[in-house]
This record gives sequence, C-alpha cells and structure tokens, in this order.
Amino acid sequence: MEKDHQGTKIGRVVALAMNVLFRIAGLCLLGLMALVFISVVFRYFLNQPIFAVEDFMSVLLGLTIFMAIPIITLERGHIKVDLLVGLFKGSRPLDRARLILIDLGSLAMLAFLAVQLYGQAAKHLRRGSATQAADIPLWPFSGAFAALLAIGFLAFAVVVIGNWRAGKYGEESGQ
Amino acid sequence: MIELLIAIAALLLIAGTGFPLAFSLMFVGYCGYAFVHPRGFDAAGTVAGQQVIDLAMNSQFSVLPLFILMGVLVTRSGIADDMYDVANQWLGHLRGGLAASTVAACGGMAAISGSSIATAATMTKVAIPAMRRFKYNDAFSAGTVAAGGTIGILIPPSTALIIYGLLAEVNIAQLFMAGLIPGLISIAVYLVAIRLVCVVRPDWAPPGARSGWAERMQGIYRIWSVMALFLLVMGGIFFGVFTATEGGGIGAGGALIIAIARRRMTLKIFFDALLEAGKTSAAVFTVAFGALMLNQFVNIAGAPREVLDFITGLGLGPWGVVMAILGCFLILGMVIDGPAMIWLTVPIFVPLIEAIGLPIRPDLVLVWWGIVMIVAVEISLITPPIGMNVFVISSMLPDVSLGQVYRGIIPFFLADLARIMVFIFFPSSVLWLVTIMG
Repeated sequence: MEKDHQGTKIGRVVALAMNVLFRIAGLCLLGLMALVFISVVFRYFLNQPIFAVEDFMSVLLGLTIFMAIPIITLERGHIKVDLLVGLFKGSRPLDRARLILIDLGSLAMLAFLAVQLYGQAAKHLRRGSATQAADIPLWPFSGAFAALLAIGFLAFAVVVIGNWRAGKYGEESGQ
Repeated sequence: MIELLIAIAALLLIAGTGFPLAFSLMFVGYCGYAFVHPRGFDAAGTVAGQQVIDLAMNSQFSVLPLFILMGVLVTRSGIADDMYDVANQWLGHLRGGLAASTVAACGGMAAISGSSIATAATMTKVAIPAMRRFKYNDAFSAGTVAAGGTIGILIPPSTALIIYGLLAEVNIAQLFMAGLIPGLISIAVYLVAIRLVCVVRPDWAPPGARSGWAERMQGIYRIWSVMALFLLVMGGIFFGVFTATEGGGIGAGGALIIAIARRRMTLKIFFDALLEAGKTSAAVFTVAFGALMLNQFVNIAGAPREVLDFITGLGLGPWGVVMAILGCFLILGMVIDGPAMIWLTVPIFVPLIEAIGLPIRPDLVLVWWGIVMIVAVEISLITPPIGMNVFVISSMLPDVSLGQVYRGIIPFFLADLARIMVFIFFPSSVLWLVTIMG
C-alpha cells in the first residue's frame, strides 16, 4: 500500500478507509466462495438448492470488484503495457510529466466511471430494476459502486496532491 | 477502417506510456464510440456505465475470482515444493531429469495456479537451486523454467482462458476441457525437447540422485489431495455435474480445506490470500470494462466487417488468414506482454475467425481459436524483447543474464512452433474432449 500519504491527518484517514475497504473486499470474496461451495453441497447432498443464489453471487462479485478498485489504483496495481516507457527514462522532466499525466488521467477516469455508475444507479431507481430471482433492487448496489469509485477518486487525489507537494514525482517513492 | 486504425494507434500510444491498460481501453473505446454514434458522448457514457454494471454483476464471471483464489490458496499452502519433489523423485535420476521434473511440476502448478508468471516465479525458487546443485547449465535451467511456466495459462483452470471466454462470449467449461489435451501435449513436447538437448549437450543436464520406491510413494501421498481436487473440479465440469463457476467455488473451498489439513494455513495467510485474489480479480475486471467498451466501438464502427473484407480481398484463404493473424501475434508479442495481447486483439480477431469459414464446427470454432491464441500468447511470454516469464526469472536470478535465458529458451521455442502447428492443423487435438463432454 502506498505509504507516503500517511504523514498528514487526511492521509491517515485515507489509509484507514483503504484498510477498511481492503478487509470488506476480502470478506465479500470469502462470502462468494462460501456461497458457491455451500450451494453445490446443498443441491447435490441435501437436494435443496439455495434460493436466488445467483443474485447474491452477482452482488458479492460486484462489491468485491468495486471495493478493490480504489485499492489497486492507490497501489498503482493496474495492468500496464509500458511499451514506450523506456523513451521517457532518458529525461527526468519528461518522465516526471508522464507520471503526473498518468495520475491525473487515472483520476479523470475514476471520476468518469463514478459519474457513469451514478447515472446507472439513477436509471435503476427510476425503472425499478431488480435482480431476477429475489427481486432485490439494483440501485443501492449500482449507487454503492459509484460511491466506492468516488472514494477511490478522493483517496487517490490525496495521494497525488501529497506527492506533488512533496516533489516526489519522478522518484521511486512517487511512483 | 480508418477509425479502427486511429483507435489502435491511439491505444498503443496511450497505454504504451504506462497509463493503466484498463483506462486506456476505456478512454479510446469511449471517444471512438462517441465519434461514430449520432448521439455522441451521451450515448458513449450510457454504454460505458451499462457495460461496467452488466459485467461486474454477472454471476457467471464469479468464476474468475474463485479460480484465482483457489490458485492463491494452494500456492500458499506450499504445494509447489511438494510437486517438484515428487516429479524429481520419479524423473530426477535420468539425464535431464531435473529439467523434466521442472516441466512436469510446472504442469502440476499450472493446473492449480492458472497463471504463467506465478508458475514461473514459483518454479524459479523451487527448481533452479536443485538444478544448480547438480551442475545444470544455467541458461538451460532458466530456459526450462521460463518455457515450463508458460503452460500455466493453457492447462485449466486458466485465468487467460477465463478472460478470453469472458470477452469472446465463449463457454468457459468448454474452453477448460479444450485446454486439457493441448496442455498434456505441450508437456510431452517440452520433454522431447529436453531429451534432444541432452543428446546434443549431455554436459548441460547431468543425472540427479535416484529415489527409492518407498520415497516415491510417500511423495505421491503428499500431493494426492491436490491431484484429487483438480480431478474433482475438472471431472465435475466435464461430466456436467457443475458449471465452471461452481467448479471455482468447489476448487477454492477445497483448496482451503487442503491448506488447513496440511497445517499450512493461518488466519493471516488466509486473509492475505483473499486480498491478493481480490486485487488480482479487480485488476482483471477493470481491464475487462475497458475492453468491452472498445469492443462496442469496434462493432458500431463496423470494423470487423471491413477487416474481413480487406483480408478476404487479399485472397489468402481461411488458413492463410489464421497464419497472418498468428504472424501479428508473433510481432505484437515482441513489444506487448502476453495477457495484454488477449485484451487488445480479441475484439478485432474473434469476429474475423468466426467469419472466414474455417472447416471447423461453427459452434466450436471460437473454442479452438481460444486455445490456439493462448498458445501464441504463451510463445510471446518467452520471445524477446518482451518476454514476461524471462523478465521474472531474470529478476529473480541476478547472476543469469537475459541473453543467457533467451539462449536456454531456443529448444523450447522450436518445440512451441511444432506444437502450435499441431493444434492448428489437427483441430481435433483441441476439440475432441469438448465434443464428448457432458
């Protein structure tokens, strides 16, 4: 986990929020595994399928993914191609500009996705969209996904601003 | 067509500078879609949001985090060492036996971890010290691990196969079954390559110590539970007892039980495994969001039709097109790492493969292509200048140069070319199990 934003009060809040998300994401995945495992056992050994198991799986999957996205963004753990990165390594200012642009671009994309998911949540609420079997309303989940991305945006913004102020771009700790 | 070419160039430029692939794909797909669609950015935004929600809340795709979790749990229970020991006990006394053991153990690890890089990294730690102890040539040792590691994405459960299935909308259970025989053929072909190296350069791979039968049986006893888990999961999927997603749940749950039974699981290790699997899954899903957005753009721009018309106009014939695409993979593999190639090429090549009229059952042509494509990606993992497995091994063995590793890979690269030809021109080697599965 990115540690260099933890010196300030807001940095500590970010670290705490990420730790909480980290743990809940793990628990969601555990829940997903347990649900699938138990549903198979119930169906084959007790001849008693669990009601609406796929609905619960889809909710747990979504929560796992969206809780982990802020974390991988902060850890800069997204999949990268790095095809042209070598071209920038010769010039420190150029490389610094590249790193800053990448972080700003990532922030913009997080904000973009949060807004789009908020739009989806509003649409789900308007249309009364629900899961197929258990009829669970979708809007709280699409809304939660949007909120999680917004949290990711805010947390990453704190890191970016912290790095900028500390002049860490272009150094190992900066990115 | 011009829109597609501009999009590809923009994508390579943006992603190439180190911008996250997921965001690059999403950005290019979004802008391209807005450019082509009459309702512009409004429509593109709606499609982006819809795609993301649909994918993240599709219970079928739980298969990915579940199999990733299974791999992480088993890996953390220390099974890699045991697998290598067992392979070594059975094969190590032969000339080149330690290399053969490495390939066999890589196959075993592949059946659990589903990741080439994880397999290569784990086997570097496990196998290289043993090979050094018996004075194996360093280049050959490193080449063996690099090549053996590539099998990780072919033998099911494979994350690469799941990603391909997810993007190309191909049945994941069928893909898993299709990967089994090619995986075994790959191991066999690598063993032949090792044998040939030993004939030409016997000093590169001296025989190791011989183990007694009691020791060998004890070894089997140590890994039987993991073998049983693999057979349970694959057997269950093959006979239609459960779906691929359920197989993932059984696999992950079973892996947890095995790890506890082996006394290799603490609460901390368990929680770390959950988090590692969660983060890996999120990274993959985020790229999938972007790839699906790009897919939408490619389709609305009519690019598959235009690419098809262009290729058909060249008069290459179906097999010629396949060879041309594989040529593209070989070139792309030199500059882009393997998994990224899957994300970038599926939206363009899959519609093409579907439409060129290959003499393969139409409902299985994409299953066959999935395996051929994964083998091409495997080869890219060990070809210069960007061979991810080579980088992993080289970073873990500072005293072995990249050049040495690449030299050690040459026999395996030739073996790779042979096996991919088998899978292309004998599609039944890939599809036979799929046609008889329940």
